[in-house]
Amino acid sequence: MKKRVAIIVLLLLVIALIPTFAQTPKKVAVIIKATDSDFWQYVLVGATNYAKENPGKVVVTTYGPPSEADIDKQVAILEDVVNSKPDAIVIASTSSDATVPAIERAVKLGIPVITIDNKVNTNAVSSHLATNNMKGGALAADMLIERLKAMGKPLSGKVALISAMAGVQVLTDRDTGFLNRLKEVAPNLKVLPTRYIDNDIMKALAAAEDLFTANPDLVGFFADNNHSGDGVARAIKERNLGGKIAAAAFDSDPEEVQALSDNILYALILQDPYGMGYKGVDSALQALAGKTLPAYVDTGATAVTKANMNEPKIKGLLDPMTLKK
Amino acid sequence: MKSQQPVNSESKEKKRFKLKTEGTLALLLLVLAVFLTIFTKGFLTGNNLSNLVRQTAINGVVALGMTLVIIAGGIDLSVGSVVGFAGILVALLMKSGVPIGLAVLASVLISFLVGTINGVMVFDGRIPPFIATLGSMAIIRGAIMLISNARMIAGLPKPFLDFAQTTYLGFPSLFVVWLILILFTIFLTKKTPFGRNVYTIGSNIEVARLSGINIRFTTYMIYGLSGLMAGIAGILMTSRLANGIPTGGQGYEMDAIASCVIGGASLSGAEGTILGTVMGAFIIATLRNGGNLLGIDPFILQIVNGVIIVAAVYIDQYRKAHQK
Amino acid sequence: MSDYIVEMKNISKSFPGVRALSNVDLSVKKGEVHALVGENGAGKSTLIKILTGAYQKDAGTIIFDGKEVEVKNPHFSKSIGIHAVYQDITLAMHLSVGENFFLGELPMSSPFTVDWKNVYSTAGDVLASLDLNIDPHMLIKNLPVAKQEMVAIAKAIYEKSKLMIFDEPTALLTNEESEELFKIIARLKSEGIGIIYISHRLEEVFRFCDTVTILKDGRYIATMPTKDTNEDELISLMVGRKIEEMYYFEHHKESEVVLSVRDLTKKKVFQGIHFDLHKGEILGMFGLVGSGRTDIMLSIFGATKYDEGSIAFFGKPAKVHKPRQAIELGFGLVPENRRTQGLALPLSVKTNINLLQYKKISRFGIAISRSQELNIAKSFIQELSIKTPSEDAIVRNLSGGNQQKVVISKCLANRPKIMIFDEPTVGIDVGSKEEIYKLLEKLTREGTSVIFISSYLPEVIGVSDRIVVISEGRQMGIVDRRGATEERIMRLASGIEENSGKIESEAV
Repeated sequence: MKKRVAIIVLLLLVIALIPTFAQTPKKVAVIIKATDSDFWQYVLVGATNYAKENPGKVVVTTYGPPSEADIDKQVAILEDVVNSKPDAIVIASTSSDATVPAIERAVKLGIPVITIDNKVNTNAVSSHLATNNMKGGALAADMLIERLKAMGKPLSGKVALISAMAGVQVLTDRDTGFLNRLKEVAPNLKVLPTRYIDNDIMKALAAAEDLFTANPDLVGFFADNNHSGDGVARAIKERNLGGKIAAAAFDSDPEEVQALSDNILYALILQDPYGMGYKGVDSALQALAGKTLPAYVDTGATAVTKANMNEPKIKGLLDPMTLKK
Repeated sequence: MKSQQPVNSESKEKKRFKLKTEGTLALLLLVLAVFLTIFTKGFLTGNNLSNLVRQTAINGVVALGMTLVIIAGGIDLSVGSVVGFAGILVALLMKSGVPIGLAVLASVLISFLVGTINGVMVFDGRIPPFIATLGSMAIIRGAIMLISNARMIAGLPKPFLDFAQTTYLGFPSLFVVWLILILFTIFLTKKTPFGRNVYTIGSNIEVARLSGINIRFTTYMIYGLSGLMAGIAGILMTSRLANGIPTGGQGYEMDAIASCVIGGASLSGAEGTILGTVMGAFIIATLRNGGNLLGIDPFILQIVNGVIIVAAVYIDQYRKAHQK
Repeated sequence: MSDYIVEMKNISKSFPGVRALSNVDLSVKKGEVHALVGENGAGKSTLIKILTGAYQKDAGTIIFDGKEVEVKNPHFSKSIGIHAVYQDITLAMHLSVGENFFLGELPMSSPFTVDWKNVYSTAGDVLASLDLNIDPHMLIKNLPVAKQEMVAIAKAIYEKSKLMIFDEPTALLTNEESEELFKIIARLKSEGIGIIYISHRLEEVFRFCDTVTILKDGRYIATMPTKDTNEDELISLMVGRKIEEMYYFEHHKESEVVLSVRDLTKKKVFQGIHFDLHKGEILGMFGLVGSGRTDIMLSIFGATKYDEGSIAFFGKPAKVHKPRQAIELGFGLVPENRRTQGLALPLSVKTNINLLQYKKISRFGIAISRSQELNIAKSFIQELSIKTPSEDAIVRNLSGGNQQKVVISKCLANRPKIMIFDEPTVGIDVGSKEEIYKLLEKLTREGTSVIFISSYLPEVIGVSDRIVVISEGRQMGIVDRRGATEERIMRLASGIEENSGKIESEAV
């Protein structure tokens, strides 16, 4: 009995290995910032979908630390991946510096590296694919003002900014982009000091409630990722202020999408995580084929409102899981 | 009786001191409250106070279980993960059609069991509590990601979501739940043989053994109750946030430990009270609330938070050293 | 220059509600061994703590080496040459002997590296000069307690001590080890170091102390040369009673057998333990430290496992695998080490006394009855005259004798049929000892049976009906009190003689 099972397993293994030997598909390692968030899961969907659409051409393996706070863990993962000698690496590096030595070592070993989302301070990478988060932040400011105007409110009063975490470059870019644009087009809007919430929805909710309590004249809210957006949406909902306050948030998750359709959040600024993963793997293959790639590709930021949220293309952006193959 | 004289004066001394233990904290809380009432418009409003107790409740529930563990001379680092676990579990169960009551009950029971497993590791495996629960913290968080695919779970039944928004006699439901659990744990620690056993184990496990205390059962219960409290907190959180959140509860163990030590609990065991922990939790939450209301620089707020923890413990140690 | 190394005059100290010392004098000459005696609570520790800077005096003067000093803190006291050796060793357990000599100020061979050679050779020299055969590389925790104490003394000598204080130094030592200590003390004396020696063992006081100061209830009673006094006088000054009267009480042994232990064996620890315990009997158990007597009792109590043999309780085989079961059957154990085995130190007197009672005094086994809890505590505080500020006082802050009474109360509250006392009188004062002997009489009168373990011969012979003698885990014989002499028992205990083996030597 046992023997028979062993033989079958062996046979299956051989069968599985045959196409490998036949075509030797390229091994691409995709490393994300954190496994605990929808956004990074979307990146992985994009990457694995590419592999599924091109069977035999590429094999994608995925890696990531549990949380974005685990910078050191990500570095360790990268080092291990480099040691496993894949053909190419696609990485969303949490830190702009910590991963530099390992990336440079990979390139030295002949493994091309594509960075996505966060830029890394080295010239060794083949290409960088990212949302321009400054532009995304500015887009959020535009949406906020658009909403205030539509409500017929004057462009004055207080605006609150909730940031998921301090010291993360992507978030800082979004916040800076938002603040700069607001100062430029609506200088009379006063932005309150940023509240940080350790990427905890409960803390975001508490902070938003407190901001409402302390500032009855609040006219707008900006949350720079999905968890901060969830907390803000919940606070607005609990106070029945949906439609009475202009709120924009980054990213998408089920709670944010629900808030969008309930008129609680006016706009979501979406990056294209699916596209990042998909194009990231594609760029890696092109690099392996010896093509020269542009140093920087903007994967774009899209503003989604209740009006356009049901368009098929936007739906894919809102929940790339629907695209999963 | 020749020792009659000193007996009287010392017992008076003792009472005055007792007032000081939780009195110091009450005073600190009062100072904070007065300060915030004067310097903010919004602090002393029904709305904000109701927010404050709701914000405190979830961390507060977790801290109750932690207090038991710390009094027994242990530590439970897994509570944050259990909060997330119960929150996801209850959401998944309801999504798969299990009636609300049953889903809640099952999640609470499973959280209790998960806690008991910590107890088994500590008692039977003789693994130091710090290590055992550090391990389960990672294991449980991994399990959450596995069963939820690291995704939020939305679309939960309305009655379940409404619970967190309800008030009873003007008190938010989350606070009411917390209050019931506070009364329950006070009863447990002050009035029951179990409570005495917890303190005895915390002061000296060998003494407890030779005094015939069932250490196995008590240890299981202590960690089980810690899991149970974290589980209840997780369910409350899911009701409040309308979603099962895979990352929910991360870092809550630190808030819980901070509440306990600010409240006078000693990490070497046998010291600490539920009331102290409740005040510790309120102090932490009030600082956060006040910081938001005043728009204080969040980084300075973080520093203040740390200073309060260290200062509270220092004052407590100082007071105890001068008590003798 | 005066002959005195230290003169403490009119020292007073109060704690909230208690006057611990009032106008106490203590003067120690250079090269003198000065005994400080008194019951627990007499103020000895407080006086010493003032000298070592742990407490601040309220009034009085301290003249050290001819100069008046204010001992502000322990560090200052050390810096002028006052060192104390306590029962609880204060060395870094996980560091080597040599390192302990230099804690905090290791000699350096360069700005960044420790001069280890110097560390170990210096420590080795000091130890050798005291004829101590201790390797300075050993870790403290791997040394027996006696050697640890020697290291502490050697360290004090190295630090140029002028006054050494010994607080119950022999409490944890065997006779042989004590002898070694006495030699060192003689040597310190010959070097002109002043020595304050605190002990409950009066025979030690008379053996090598020059002068003795007696304290009672925080007051100074007298100072006199030891050659001008005797044990009886000292005890009567300390407590006002004579020593031989203390053991003198009625015995109440009956014929009913309460506990039968048959061929009890735990490999490599004890073998063939075999005795009956009768109702109302005090069965002494004598053996030197390390003879296995404590292990035997812990096995009977269910705290450690035994390999062979049987135990019967009132004629019925008793299955006792856990202390809980023993307690339910009616055993009470006053363990050897009250601080680590008997008491929940950070908890109150009330809680400790009630520790075994909580299930019983709770409604439905859940809600403790406050009034019953308080009544039990109060009744025992009164019955055993436990000196405590209140029933809510923390046990850690009580004196040794009173702590021991709390442990006993804890067991008695459970109304045990058999009480096991393991060295109940070690480290407690004469007054408390006498109260414990009286309690033994009362218990046996009421029909409780007692197993009494002690390594102090006069005491065992004085209180026991019969004495089981243990040597190296073997039962050497059972001696009836009427035939018991110190010499006979010592011969059995040291293995020179073995009487008729397992058979009880005397029928009731």
